[in-house]
Amino acid sequence: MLKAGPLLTVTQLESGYNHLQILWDVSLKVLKGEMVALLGRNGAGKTTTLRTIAGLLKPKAGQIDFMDHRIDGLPAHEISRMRISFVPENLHLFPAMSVMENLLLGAYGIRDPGRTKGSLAFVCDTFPALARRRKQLAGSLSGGERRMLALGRGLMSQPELLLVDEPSLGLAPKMATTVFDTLSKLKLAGLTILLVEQNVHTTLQISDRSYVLEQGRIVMEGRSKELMKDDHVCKTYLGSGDD
Amino acid sequence: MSTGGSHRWVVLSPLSLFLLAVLSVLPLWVQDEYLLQLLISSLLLGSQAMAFDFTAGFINVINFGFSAFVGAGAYTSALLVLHWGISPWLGPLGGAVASAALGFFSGVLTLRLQGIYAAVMTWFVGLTLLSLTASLSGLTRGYRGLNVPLFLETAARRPYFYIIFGVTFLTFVSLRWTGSSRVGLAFRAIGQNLESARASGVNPTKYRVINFTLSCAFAGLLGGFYAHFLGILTPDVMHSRQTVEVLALAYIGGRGSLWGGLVAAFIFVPLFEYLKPLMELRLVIYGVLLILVMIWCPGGLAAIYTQLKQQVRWPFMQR
Ligand SMILES: Nc1ncnc2c1ncn2[C@@H]1O[C@H](COP(=O)(O)OP(=O)(O)O)[C@@H](O)[C@H]1O
Ligand SMILES: [Mg+2]
Repeated sequence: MLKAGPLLTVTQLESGYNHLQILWDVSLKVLKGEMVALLGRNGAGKTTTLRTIAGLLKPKAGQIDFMDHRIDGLPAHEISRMRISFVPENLHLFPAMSVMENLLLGAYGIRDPGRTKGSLAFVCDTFPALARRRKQLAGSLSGGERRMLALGRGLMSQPELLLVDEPSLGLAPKMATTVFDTLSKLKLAGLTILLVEQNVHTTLQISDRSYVLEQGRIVMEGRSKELMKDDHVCKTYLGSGDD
Repeated sequence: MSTGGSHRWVVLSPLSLFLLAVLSVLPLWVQDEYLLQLLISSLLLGSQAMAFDFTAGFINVINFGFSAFVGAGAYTSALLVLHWGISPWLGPLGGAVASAALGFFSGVLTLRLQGIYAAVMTWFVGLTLLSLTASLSGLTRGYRGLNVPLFLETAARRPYFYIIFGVTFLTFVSLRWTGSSRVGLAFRAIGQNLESARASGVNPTKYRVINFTLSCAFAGLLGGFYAHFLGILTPDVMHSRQTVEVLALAYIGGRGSLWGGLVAAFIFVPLFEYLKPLMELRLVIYGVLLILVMIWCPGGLAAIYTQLKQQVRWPFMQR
């Protein structure tokens, strides 16, 4: 597969909540067609990074470039319309809406009904369970189905870049495997993915490159295959304790 | 696969059509003027509850100044008729435009704020409108009351029932249609999960202002009809006491359902009328009911109805 220049470039990003700074000098790149993982312990700042890229948090300093645009400081709805999709960890579905309505909202920025139909067909194809339950309320879905819906909603806008936050969190191992398989398939189909995960082992296997975040700073980066053999990574994230 | 646009056409369920039909022929049997008056009051408050719910139940912003927007429409309509000689039938449209404009400007000012701050600001706007109306007594006659030309010469209630029924129907259908349209989807998204709505490409401020303006437009329209039905206006129509009653009906009826508030009005307006001694305690009772609804049944009457419907259909739905 051909790799072009970086799709997303984050440069010396600082971000946080009000006066509480969480991210310090975070720089990372995601090339077109890559699956890049962002690893780190609970509270390291992974979610904060994704939310800042998605425009849900305003950065305190630094720069974010997507394709040829500088996007830091833009409101979330504009960033979403530039085809960056954020699939949040705690799901954030619209619980009192049907599966179908949740999906349609994912394509809200698209004003072309023809394209929306295409997305819908693609998502229903990828997640047949969602198609069967399209009239059901999102709040009444099982944990695995909700994860599918969150991913499906994220795909509805036909994104260039998918930001996925802990898609396997709280899922049974079998269900988690399905989620990872789906992500791998999407990547093969040409989607660029920035993935945050606690399941370090699987993530290192399916991603191209990884960054390791500790206390809001990038402490390590490299090819995922090489990080798997790294001492620090083995001890901290793949150690016998497991996480 | 249908993209969900289909229920844009089926705005009203068979049951609601049936109930509306029953309601529309009711005055043919009800001869008692007093009873008709009660039905009209229920319609007036119920339709206000629907317009209120369009904001509270959809974008999750509570408009504590709601009745002030109703009053602004009422006074605008009355003054247009009195001073410009406009027909009372057109006055309420002027009221709707005036309240929509007021709603738009207060929306732009307040709706950037988060939920509770926005609510406090709407309360403030309401208070300001109320004291303006009271103090501009050269125009509004303040608490001495403004005599408003009626729609009709007759004192009979039945024609008024049909006028108010018509405007209630119009309110219900318009709000319902908007609520199930593409714009309505954005409203509900903002109400259910602001962050996801933003991440889905919905501009929250824009859609909140659209929603608020629409709700205020209907508040003004209903206010206009209220004015030419009642024949007299005092600044008290704008009091937050009125808002609390409308809020209680909307919440007891079920947030986000629209129709719930109308049904609740048909239960509680007659109830308080027949239990005269309780009239004074109305707000207290509404308060207690509100608390009970929030604890036991946050979805209100609408949720009870949905549950019943599911239980009835349950045996046939087994897979
Ligand atoms: N809404 C918030 N307000 C204040 N602090 C927060 C908020 N959300 C997260 N934090 C803090 O930011 C830090 C990083 O959180 P987060 O980015 O969610 O970590 P991760 O996703 O890596 O587990 C944590 O210390 C957390 O307590
Ligand atoms: Mg997290």
